[in-house]
Amino acid sequence: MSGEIIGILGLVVLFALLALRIPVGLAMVLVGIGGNFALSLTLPYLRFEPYLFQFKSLLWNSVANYDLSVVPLFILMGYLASNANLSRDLFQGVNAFAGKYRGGVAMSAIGACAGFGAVCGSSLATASTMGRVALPELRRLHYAPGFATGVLAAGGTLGILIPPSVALVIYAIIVEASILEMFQAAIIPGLIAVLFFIIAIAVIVRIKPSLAPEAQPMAKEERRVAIRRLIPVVVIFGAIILGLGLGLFTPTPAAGIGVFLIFVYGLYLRRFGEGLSVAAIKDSILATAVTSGMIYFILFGAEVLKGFFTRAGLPEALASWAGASSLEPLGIIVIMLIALIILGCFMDSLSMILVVVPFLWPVLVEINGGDYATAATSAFAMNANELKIWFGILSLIVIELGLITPPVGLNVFIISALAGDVKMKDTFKGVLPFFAIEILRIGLILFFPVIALFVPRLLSG
Amino acid sequence: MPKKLDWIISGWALLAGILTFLIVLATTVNTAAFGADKIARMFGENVSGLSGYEDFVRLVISAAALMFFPYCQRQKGHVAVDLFAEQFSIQTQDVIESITLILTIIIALFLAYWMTLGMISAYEDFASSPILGWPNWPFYIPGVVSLLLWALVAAMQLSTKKGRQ
Amino acid sequence: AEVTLTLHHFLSPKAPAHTQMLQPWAEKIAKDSNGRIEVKIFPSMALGGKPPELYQQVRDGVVDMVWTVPGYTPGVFPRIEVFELPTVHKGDAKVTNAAIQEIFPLIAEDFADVKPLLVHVHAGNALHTTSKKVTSLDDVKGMKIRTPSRSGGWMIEAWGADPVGMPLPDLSQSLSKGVVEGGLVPFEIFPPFKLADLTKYSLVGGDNERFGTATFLFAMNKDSYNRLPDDLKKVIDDNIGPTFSEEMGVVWNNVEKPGIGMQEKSGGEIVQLDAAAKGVFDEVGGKVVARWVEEVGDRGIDGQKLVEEARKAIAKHSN
Ligand code: NA
Ligand code: NA
Repeated sequence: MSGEIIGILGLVVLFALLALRIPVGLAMVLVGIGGNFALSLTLPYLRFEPYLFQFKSLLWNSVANYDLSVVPLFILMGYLASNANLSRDLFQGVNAFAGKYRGGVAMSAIGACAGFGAVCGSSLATASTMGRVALPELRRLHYAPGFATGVLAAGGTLGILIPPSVALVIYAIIVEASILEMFQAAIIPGLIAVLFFIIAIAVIVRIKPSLAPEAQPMAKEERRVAIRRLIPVVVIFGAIILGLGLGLFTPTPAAGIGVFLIFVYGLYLRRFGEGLSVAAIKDSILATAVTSGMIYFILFGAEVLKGFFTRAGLPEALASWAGASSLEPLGIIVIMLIALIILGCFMDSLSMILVVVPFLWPVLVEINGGDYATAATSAFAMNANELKIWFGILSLIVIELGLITPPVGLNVFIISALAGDVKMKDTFKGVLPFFAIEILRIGLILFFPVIALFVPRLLSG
Repeated sequence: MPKKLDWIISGWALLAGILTFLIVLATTVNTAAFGADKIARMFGENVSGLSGYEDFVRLVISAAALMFFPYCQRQKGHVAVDLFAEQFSIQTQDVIESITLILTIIIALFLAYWMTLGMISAYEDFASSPILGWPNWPFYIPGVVSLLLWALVAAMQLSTKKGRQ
Repeated sequence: AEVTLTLHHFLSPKAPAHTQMLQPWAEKIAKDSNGRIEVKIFPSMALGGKPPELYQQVRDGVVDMVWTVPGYTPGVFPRIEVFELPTVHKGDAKVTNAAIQEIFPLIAEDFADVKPLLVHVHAGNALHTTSKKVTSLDDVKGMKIRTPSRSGGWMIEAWGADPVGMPLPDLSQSLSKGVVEGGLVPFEIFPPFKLADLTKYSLVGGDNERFGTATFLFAMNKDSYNRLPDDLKKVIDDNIGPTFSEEMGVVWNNVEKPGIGMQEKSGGEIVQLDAAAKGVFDEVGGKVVARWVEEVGDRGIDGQKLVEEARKAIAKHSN
């Protein structure tokens, strides 16, 4: 049996284990070790016993990583901001402005999701935090249930692209791109998403006014308070995103400063009986422990799995197959994106980045003309570094779509669970227009890569 | 889960949280020094950052990251794909969960064993961090302890499950 | 093939180290053994782990061979560091490679657990600065400079400048945003990192001398070697040693040329220190050497002797 066949069998076993509800990280480690054992039986030069020796250092080295330290920091930052009720201040503050339009509260929810996305590394956390804050308000004002939940499920996906984003960090580490440049590349596509979503809401409520109530502007005093409370939040969140966007901070310092500012502001709010209590800080840390522990274990699992797939020769085989195929380069990217959308219906975003992207990336580099291809000589008219960035943005948008597509739309699950009485089906229906508009956005970035590449190009001189 | 173990596991995660806050503090000081330097430059002075800051972050996070694992297991936080399993009977789901816990225990102990050997290697090799020159091996210890606690939590979960049946 | 050997390294398959060194070597081995040995190269850490783990992997037999940077695991190779020190290495990889060959018995202890196939250096670090032209030690004081290695960091400190550590992919933007004002790297990495456009000046010592270098280790697992039949052992042994070392010195000197060309073409200036200024830099470099001697002394290693022998051998091969 050839190595490639064992590799493919390993992939099948991996999916089978996942379908059995074996945790993703565990399944990866098991298939990685088991697969290497199988390889050692057929390819004698891949001896199994010495292979095991790498576990002396593999785990420690996969966590002793400066770049990855931004992951727990961003996660902690998100939980602290949420527990200090900054998410509520953000939503109410945006609402003070948008509330006077029909559908304005829904637009505020989108704006607040984007804002919260700027301190929160994950889509799921963005969806659930903003869901808790905005959903009661939307329901109180009699927004149609499926519309309300749909808006929030879609808005939550902004967390993955608006920097900082754990997904972007991990993608950058996998393909060895600069994390900072990935963040910068995500800014314009992220803003486009916000704009498109808000336009979509305006159009939808115009076509079907029954979905949203008449505009109900806030009372003057309420509005004043909301705006006053919005200011510190905007300052803190703005410092983080501007610092990253302008390249003043690299990601770990940005995350560190972010945690520090939110922590200090949260303690200051104690004077008014709000903000971060000891219990809230404890909660934030423990929630960070769960999310970070999960992510670190999946990262380690992916490392083990990678060692198996490359020993089996799988990525190489795929790259040479794609290199030999007569498909247009753009066609290959489109096929990849479609495959990612389909896989995204079943897998969580992190595992997709870790399992699938390592296969796709070498193929792309190969058809582009290699690592040292220049813009002039390459298939996509960009060098390998820019290709990394562009493809990263595209694939992350596509992967985030998986969060709102049936059957496994994690954002939809979370929001429906929060709402309690809204049927999942209705939420999926409510998400549909946003899904359509996302496809439009993907098309734009696909045909105009400059949307993603503009900011990093500008800032790298 | 016994109260005492529960307390230890949460405490261990909170300790990791404190380590994370240490990183936050070091980062803030370092970044502030960097900012101060930019300003001082205008007056022909300069302020240096924390030397070995990256080493510090790398070593501290290596400990904290693994210290999150036992609590993550306690909360069953390791992400899994729910889609298909929901269709299985309760009994089948139960068996799968037991198998998952057993496999978790095996992998955690397997990793603890190898990581201990890795720690000995790091000690014998004098492996150290580039700028600070701190030895690496002490930073393996929280990792090994975490892996053992992880196995212990999974074992407790398995036994309470058995007890329920 | 009768024997398949795995070779693991951390660079891309398009990097000069892969295409001009490891791949030709693997092909030569295949040819000389009449196809009985196949060396399968896995670039980009494809077999798993991070670059600092490569040495352990080859020592423990996870893979059969690696090409790695001893500096990734500070403390593990105390002796070879002598060749990285400023004022010890001059500016010619071929010369320093020959010196390493000559005094290898003195540093062999570092590699006692593996079979070293080649220990070599790159041509050396120059100081590339974004906007400030450095012509004396005073100019460099207070600058923030990306450090290439442990002893490189010491040197930057000794200059009165601030060493900043960062991964190589972050260097371009850090230079363009002023996070650092310069970096100590060889010209070899100019093409992939656009450094020619980002830096205006590249400082070298007089006579193209560099400020220290990095050492590299190409090594084989001992058991993997011992398992080979004698005639295949001979194939390996015939392809290592002084000739290979010299060829690779030439290769590593030559990979500098495209980068130097790019810097000149971009309107950048390659600044040579004059004799007086160079004397000041060398004096400070000497302090770094002294610090290193003291530090390895704590491990019971006679650093002074290593420095003297290394300098003697380099001087000898320079002519
Ligand atoms: Na985000
Ligand atoms: Na230049």
